[in-house]
Amino acid sequence: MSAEILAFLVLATATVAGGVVTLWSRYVVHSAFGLMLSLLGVAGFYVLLGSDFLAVTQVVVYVGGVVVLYLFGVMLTPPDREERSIRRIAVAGIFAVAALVVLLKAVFGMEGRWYGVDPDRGPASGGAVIREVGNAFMDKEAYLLPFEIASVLLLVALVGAVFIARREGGRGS
Amino acid sequence: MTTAALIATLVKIAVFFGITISLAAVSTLFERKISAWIQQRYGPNRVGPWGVLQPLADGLKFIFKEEVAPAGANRLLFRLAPAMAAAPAFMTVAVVPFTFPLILDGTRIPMAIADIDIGVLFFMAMGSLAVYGIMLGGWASNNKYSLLGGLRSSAQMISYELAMMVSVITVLTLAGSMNLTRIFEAQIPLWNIAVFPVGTIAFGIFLIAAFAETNRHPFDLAECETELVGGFHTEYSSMKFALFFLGEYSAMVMMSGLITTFFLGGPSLFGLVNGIEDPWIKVLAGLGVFLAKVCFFLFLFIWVRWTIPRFRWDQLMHLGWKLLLPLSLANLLLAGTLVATGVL
Amino acid sequence: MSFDYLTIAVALVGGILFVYANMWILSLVRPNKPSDLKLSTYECGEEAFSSSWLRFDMRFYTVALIFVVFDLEIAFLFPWAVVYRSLGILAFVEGLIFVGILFLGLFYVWAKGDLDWVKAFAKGRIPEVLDGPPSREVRKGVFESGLSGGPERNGGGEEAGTS
Repeated sequence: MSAEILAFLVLATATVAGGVVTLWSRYVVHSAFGLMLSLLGVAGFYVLLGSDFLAVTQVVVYVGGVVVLYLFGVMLTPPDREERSIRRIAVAGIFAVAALVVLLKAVFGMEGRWYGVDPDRGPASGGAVIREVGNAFMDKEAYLLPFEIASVLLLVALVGAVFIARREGGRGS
Repeated sequence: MTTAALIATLVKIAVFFGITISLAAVSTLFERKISAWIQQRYGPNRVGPWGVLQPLADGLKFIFKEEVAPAGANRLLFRLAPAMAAAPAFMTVAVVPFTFPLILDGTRIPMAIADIDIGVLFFMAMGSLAVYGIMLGGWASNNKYSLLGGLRSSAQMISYELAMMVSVITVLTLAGSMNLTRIFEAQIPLWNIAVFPVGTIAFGIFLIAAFAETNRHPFDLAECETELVGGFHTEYSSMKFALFFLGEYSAMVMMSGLITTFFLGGPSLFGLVNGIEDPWIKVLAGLGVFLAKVCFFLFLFIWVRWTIPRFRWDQLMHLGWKLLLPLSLANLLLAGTLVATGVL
Repeated sequence: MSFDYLTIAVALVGGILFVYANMWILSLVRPNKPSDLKLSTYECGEEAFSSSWLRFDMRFYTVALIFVVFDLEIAFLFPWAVVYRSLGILAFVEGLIFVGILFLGLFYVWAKGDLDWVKAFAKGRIPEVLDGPPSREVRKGVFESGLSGGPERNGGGEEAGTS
């Protein structure tokens, strides 16, 4: 058990430290890098909870995809001198406090059911997670419709994102 | 966890990492030897007989060279990038099964360092992390060549990653498992490359994407000496350069190992090795077969580099997005149809 | 299972420590004589000018954007592929629809020219394959497209990434 707690502490430190770097660094690329560390820490949490599939998907999609996109975006953007103005910090602070309140409310609303699942079940293991996910996707009673709708959602996201990128970018020459 | 299992794991770590690093070192020598033969030269022949000690001499040189970092470089990321470039390839070693599982007194010891059930996804995750070392190395150098090289390389890697993932998914529909040991065990009767046409097409796509993912010719626009000097590692010297170098060659070894596992039945050889009774001989023979296949692909990597000219940037992106990606998706649907109708 | 991940974590941490310890120890034996010239940015012997953190072509960003969406969709396909054999025709139809929608997205960006790197090619002004020495017009088209440097090329800085 103590090994698990130790692992949790290490991962928690990495996640929070990554978040702090993201917020405080003067270089935007360092921020993206901190975000990557933070997301890797979250992937570690998933491993601890026995959901290796989710952990690896987190790495593939967020660390290998979204943060790379951020890095491309960051390299495209000239440094913003207004970034540290009082007004911006104040606005960000208001949003942060509001988000914190919502989160805390949700956490205390759980009344001890932290995982939202049966606590006696214990962590899943042995490739069961991915099979369970796959079967749930293919089950009419479960997530068959959401699975298909997800692809439509992604299609809409793709079209929208590319449309905006095309219009704002001016496309080179 | 028993002591025996712990010892087994430690031995596996030592042996498999040793094999990977030795193969990487040997392929640096063979890269130069084979290129010399292709171009009617001798190649390195001064250090030791037939130049076999050349990798060692290179290593010593890397150690004793002065390390130069450009004045405008971003210190932190400049130091971090080489390790980030080398780490993913070494992490992938953990899930590759080098030979048949060893069965001793009814206990099955899988011959991968970590025989996890989502080995395929783990490899994919590591592959998607490989982009960082190159991208950050290129950015942190504060050099225009480096930045352009890193940028091109990362765009190239993410483009070919998609086709590679889809061709791996095709293999998964055939094997029905993500565990790499199970994937090669499912191929003992028939290698995936021989499952015509889906396995063959998937193999072709994976092979091309592997060249692109490791930044090898004809996809080495990241380095592209004629226009970008050294690409993302222009400003790197000494041990930091050595790390990039080692990472590239280890990635090559790992890609060869994965192609072997996914499409060429891993350590199996037409049921010959599988039939051996003695567990230890079976494991060693399997290792030999596996390494022979890996060496073939390493040779292929080198052979292609010195034979085929480099793509132009737009040709490269067209090949990835307009040919390989649609082809791999169509191939996946074909595989799905064949499996659903019971042909495969 | 967690033992396997522990192995991986230990290997990762050990590897990083090993690499940096080596780098530090070995840095004691190698010479270190920096000079201004040695530390300057390498630009083929020319004096380096301006910062190299230049802005590059928007299309790199667009490609990364398209990649993220496809990456996510393919991540959805992994569990589908693993259970595919044990489920029947339903999984096939599901997969067909899912991949079909994936194809739609690909064709959209394809048709809209977001995958084209050279506008002249996309508009069909110059042929993709050049047989023999290119004619004057073709050469002009190539210069304009930024594929190759030349006297007719205008405003090099913006398209620095595509050459």
